[in-house]
Amino acid sequence: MSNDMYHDPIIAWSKRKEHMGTLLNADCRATENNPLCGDRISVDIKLHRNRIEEIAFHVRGCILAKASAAHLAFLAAGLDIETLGQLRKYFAKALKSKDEAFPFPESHDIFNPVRSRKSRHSCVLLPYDAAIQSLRSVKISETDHDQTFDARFITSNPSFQDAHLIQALVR
Amino acid sequence: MMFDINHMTQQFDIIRHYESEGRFHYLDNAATAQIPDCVIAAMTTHDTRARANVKRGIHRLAQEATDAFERARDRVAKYLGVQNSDEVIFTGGATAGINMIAQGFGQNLKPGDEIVLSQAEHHSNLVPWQMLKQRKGVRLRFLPIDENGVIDLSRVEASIRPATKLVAVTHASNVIGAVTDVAAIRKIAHERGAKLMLDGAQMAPHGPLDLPRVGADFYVFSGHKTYGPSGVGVLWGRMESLERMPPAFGGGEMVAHVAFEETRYAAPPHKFEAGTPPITQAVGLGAALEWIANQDLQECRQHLNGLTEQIMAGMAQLNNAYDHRIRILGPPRGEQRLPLISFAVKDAHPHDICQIMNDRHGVALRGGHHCAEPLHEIFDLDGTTRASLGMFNGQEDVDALLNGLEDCLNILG
Repeated sequence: MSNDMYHDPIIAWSKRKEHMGTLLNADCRATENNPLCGDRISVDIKLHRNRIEEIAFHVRGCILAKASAAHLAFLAAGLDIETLGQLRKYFAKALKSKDEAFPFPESHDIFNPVRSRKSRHSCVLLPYDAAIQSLRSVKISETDHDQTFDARFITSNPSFQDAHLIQALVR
Repeated sequence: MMFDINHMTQQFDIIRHYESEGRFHYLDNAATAQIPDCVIAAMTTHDTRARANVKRGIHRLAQEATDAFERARDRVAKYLGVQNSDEVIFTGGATAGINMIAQGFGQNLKPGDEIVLSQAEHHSNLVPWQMLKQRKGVRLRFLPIDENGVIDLSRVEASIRPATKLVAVTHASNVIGAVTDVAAIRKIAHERGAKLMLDGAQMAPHGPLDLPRVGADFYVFSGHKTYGPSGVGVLWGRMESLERMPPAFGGGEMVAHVAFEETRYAAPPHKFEAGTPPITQAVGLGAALEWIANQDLQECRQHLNGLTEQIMAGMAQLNNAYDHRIRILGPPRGEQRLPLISFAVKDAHPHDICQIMNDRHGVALRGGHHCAEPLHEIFDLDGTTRASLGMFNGQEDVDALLNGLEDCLNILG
């Protein structure tokens, strides 16, 4: 893939309008800023049994922030705060890594050119931070948590590799 | 005499190095200017021939280091046009200097006293005063700006009141590029018994100053924006103000006598230079100011003003072709401004512009708030992109900027 950050897939994702806006009956909301560049992302999330059922972003920011928000919104259905946090953590590691030790999740390949531009990592991670912050504001009910989703990923297994988790997520 | 741009760029190893590798157009001088070879040489010579701690040692190197440090202080005084070099205090930079004034000058203030700033200030000349407000209960008032971002002089009289103790404003804005009309502000401030502090971070790089004529009571600037090293700056203050002002930091070097119960401070400038100062950096700053003063500054100004006008004219042409998407902040064409242009492009984020400029055109710009978030709120802007020229910039840099900007207009939005 070209190292040009402003390649067609990124531009295309940045222009997608589905999942952009607000949700009338959101269960949780958050706004995150990047004070260094002025990017601001607001997110509304509707939950079903503590997992994301619907998500909508309002992005005031650069093309990378818009593309990442649209991309995350596409993947977000069914994620809970823990899995989203792990996805964010893995994505951040992959961005910082110089080698293939942390390969990008397959569907995140469009952000590969961002790897070499450290100052832009926060732009693609900001939608994740907003979504996590939004989910943090919700009191999670233990009895209402959907266990079947967890069983599929065996997330409680400490030896489970992040790469497997992420690949399972985006399958 | 024509400005010799080749002679100028030959004095900067970093420019020669990157230009030899390909496209390289450094237009981020308002953030940090590049450093001439002679300044690097001065610092290297100091560190290889005169490196030691200053002010107290008796041995040969201590004396040479002290002499070099104090010669740098004298050079700063000369650059500022002041007679008494004891009024020159070396700091970590303009931000450190403003914080020292906020802490020191602020110590004698009481609830209800007022500090007057402007809406155009850099965070470094806003946040320290907000912190003082929390500590001492002083009130902050803001001189408004007009539609061009210039301090509205018609509002100065109403803004500076009997309760005003200090007016602290930018000498020239890092976003707007406008030069503040200091005389009007100084007159009213002094009539009302207030001191005047100027943030000279953007003004100082453009030539020697005449602080007695300017009439400020305090002046700050940074070395790294003035073709010098980072980690050093200057706080200048009138001696009577410095003598009354408590120090912000305590420690070694700034004392006359220390006992367990209390300490008597040294006289200025040493009272304000606690600990080992940035010695090598001060030597570098002195060399940088001497280098600036030795240039044909009238030629430099004409050169940079000409390039600035070309950029603005080029942007006006692009606006005609691209639906007037470019909005330039600051004084209109023909009016005085620094060689600095901040602009917003409709449907294009500053970081995307800066990335495309860097990746495709080798042009280094700055995007974002430029540490002036409230100022951008006034203009209802998320951020702007800024091109700021230095003495080594020339026609090729302007051409690259305008070509790159056209590329951005095509790719973005």
